[in-house]
Amino acid sequence: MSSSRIIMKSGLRVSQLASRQSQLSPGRYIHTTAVSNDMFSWLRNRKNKAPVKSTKDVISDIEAGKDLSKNNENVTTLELIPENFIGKFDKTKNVIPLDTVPYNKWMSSNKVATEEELNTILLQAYNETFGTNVASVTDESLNETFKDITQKFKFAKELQAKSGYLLSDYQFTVLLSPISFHKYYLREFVSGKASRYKESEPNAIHLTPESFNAPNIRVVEDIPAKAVRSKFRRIVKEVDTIESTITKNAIESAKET
Amino acid sequence: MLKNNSSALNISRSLATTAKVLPNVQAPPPYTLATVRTFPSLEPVACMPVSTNILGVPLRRDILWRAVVQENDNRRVGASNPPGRSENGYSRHKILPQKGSGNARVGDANSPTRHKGARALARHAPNDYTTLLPNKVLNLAFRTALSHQYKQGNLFIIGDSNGTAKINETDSSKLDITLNDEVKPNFSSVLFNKFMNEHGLEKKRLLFVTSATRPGLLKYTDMYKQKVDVIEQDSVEVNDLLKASKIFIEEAAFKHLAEKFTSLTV
Repeated sequence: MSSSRIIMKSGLRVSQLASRQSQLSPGRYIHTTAVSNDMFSWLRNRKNKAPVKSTKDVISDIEAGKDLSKNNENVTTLELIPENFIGKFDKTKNVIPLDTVPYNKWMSSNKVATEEELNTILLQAYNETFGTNVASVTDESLNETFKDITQKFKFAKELQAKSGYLLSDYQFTVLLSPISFHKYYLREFVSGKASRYKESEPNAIHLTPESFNAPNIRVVEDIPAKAVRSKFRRIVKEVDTIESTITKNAIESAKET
Repeated sequence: MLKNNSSALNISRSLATTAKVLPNVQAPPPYTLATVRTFPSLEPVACMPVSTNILGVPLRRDILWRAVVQENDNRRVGASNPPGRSENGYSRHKILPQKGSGNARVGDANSPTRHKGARALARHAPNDYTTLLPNKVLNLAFRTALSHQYKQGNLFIIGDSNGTAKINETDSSKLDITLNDEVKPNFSSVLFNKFMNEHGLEKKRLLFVTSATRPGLLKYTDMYKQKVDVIEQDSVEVNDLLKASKIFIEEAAFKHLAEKFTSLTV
C-alpha cells in the first residue's frame, strides 16, 4: 500500500511510470567516450591530423579551375530520391489493414435483429448443448432450469457466439432457464435497447410511436446530433455551389455586355 | 382432558410466535458466476463460482464516497510554503515602546496582524493532506466498486482456469501482447486496435489489471494512454475501478485482490 502511495504522490500514473521504465532499458544508453586528460594524446592527435590547406591555396586552386569535389573522398552525398527525404512519411505505406490481423473470431459479426432469428439461434444452441431436437421455442423443455453449470455455460457461449452479443456475467448467473435467456435477449438486444444505450445518458428514456396506442399522441423522433450536423453541412455546401455558379454567370454576362 | 388439550395448544402457539419465520424467506446466494475469457478475443473458456462477498456486495455509495475522498486526499501534494514569524525577514526589534507613545501596544514587524507580516500558521512544503480510513471500510469500498462493475457487465476476467481450458492459438490467458518488432508485418502493433474495433471499445476508458508487468501490453497501448490504464494488481484503487468503462483483470490478479480485500470482512 505504501509503495502505491509513493507512486501516486509523485503524480505519475503507474502505466506511465512503467512505460518510462521500459524506455530506459539498458540497451538504449547513449554512449560517450571517456574524457582523456593526457597531454601527449592530444599532441599525438594533432600530429595524425591531415594538414589543412591555407585559404590562399584553395582560392588559387579554384581560380585555376580545379575540381575540388573529387578530392573530398570522405564526403558522401545523398541521392535525391524520395526515400532519402526526411519529414515526409507515407502513412498508408505502413498501415496494416485490420482484416489481415490473425484474430480468433468466435463471435458472429452479424448481430441478431429479429425475433425469428433469435428463435432459430436459441433452438440451435439448445439442441447443440443438450443433443435434443426441439423445434419450437414454446416447447416445455425450454422452461426447465439448468441442472448443470457446465451445460449452462455451453449454452450461453453458443448463444453469444451465434447472436453476436456478449452476455454479462451477472446475467449469466441470474438467468436460470433457456427461455429466460430468450426473454432477456428479446428485451435487451432485439428491441434495440442495447444499441441505443449511451454511457453519458444511462437512464435516458427512448420513446417510440409504437409505445403509444392513442391517436392523439405523436412522438417527435429523436434525431442524433451527428445527423443534424451532416445535414447542415450538406445544405451549406449546396448553397455555396449555387451561389458560386450565380456569381460566375453574373461575371460572364457582365463581360459579354 | 380438555384442560390438558388447551394447555398443549397454548404451548404450540407460544412456540410458533418465538420461531416466527417469514413466508418467502430465503438465504442469500453464497456465490455468483464469473466467466473466464481469453484475450483479446474475449472468448469464454470456463466459468467459476465467486463468493458474493466479493462480486455480490450491494451498492453503498457512502462507502465509495469515503474511499474516493481518502484516495484523492492521499494523492494531493501541497507546495504552499508561507513564511512563519522566524522566517519573515524583519527584525525582532520592538517597533514602539511599550508605554508613552499614545498608540496601541505593538511587537515586531513580523507579527501576523501587520501588513507584510508573517503567516500565523506557517507550513512547510510538501504539505501533508493524507487522511486515514479504517481498513474494513477501504476493503468494503473496493469490493463494492468491483461488484458494481460486475453487475453492470463491465468486468471481464482473463485466464485459462489454471490451464484446464483450451485456448485458441491467437489468444492468450494473460493480458499481454507478444513483442514482435522484428517480424514484418508486425501484427502485434495493431492487435490492440483490432481488439477495440471488434468489441466497440474505441474512445472508452479501459482498465487492465495485471498480476505482473506486461511489457507488450504497455508498449502497444501507449498510443491510447489517455484512455487506457494498465495497472499492476497492488496499485489498483477504488478510483480506477469506478472511472473505467470496462475492466479487464487477469485471473491471478483477481484471486489476489479477492484474498486481499476479504481478509477483514465487515
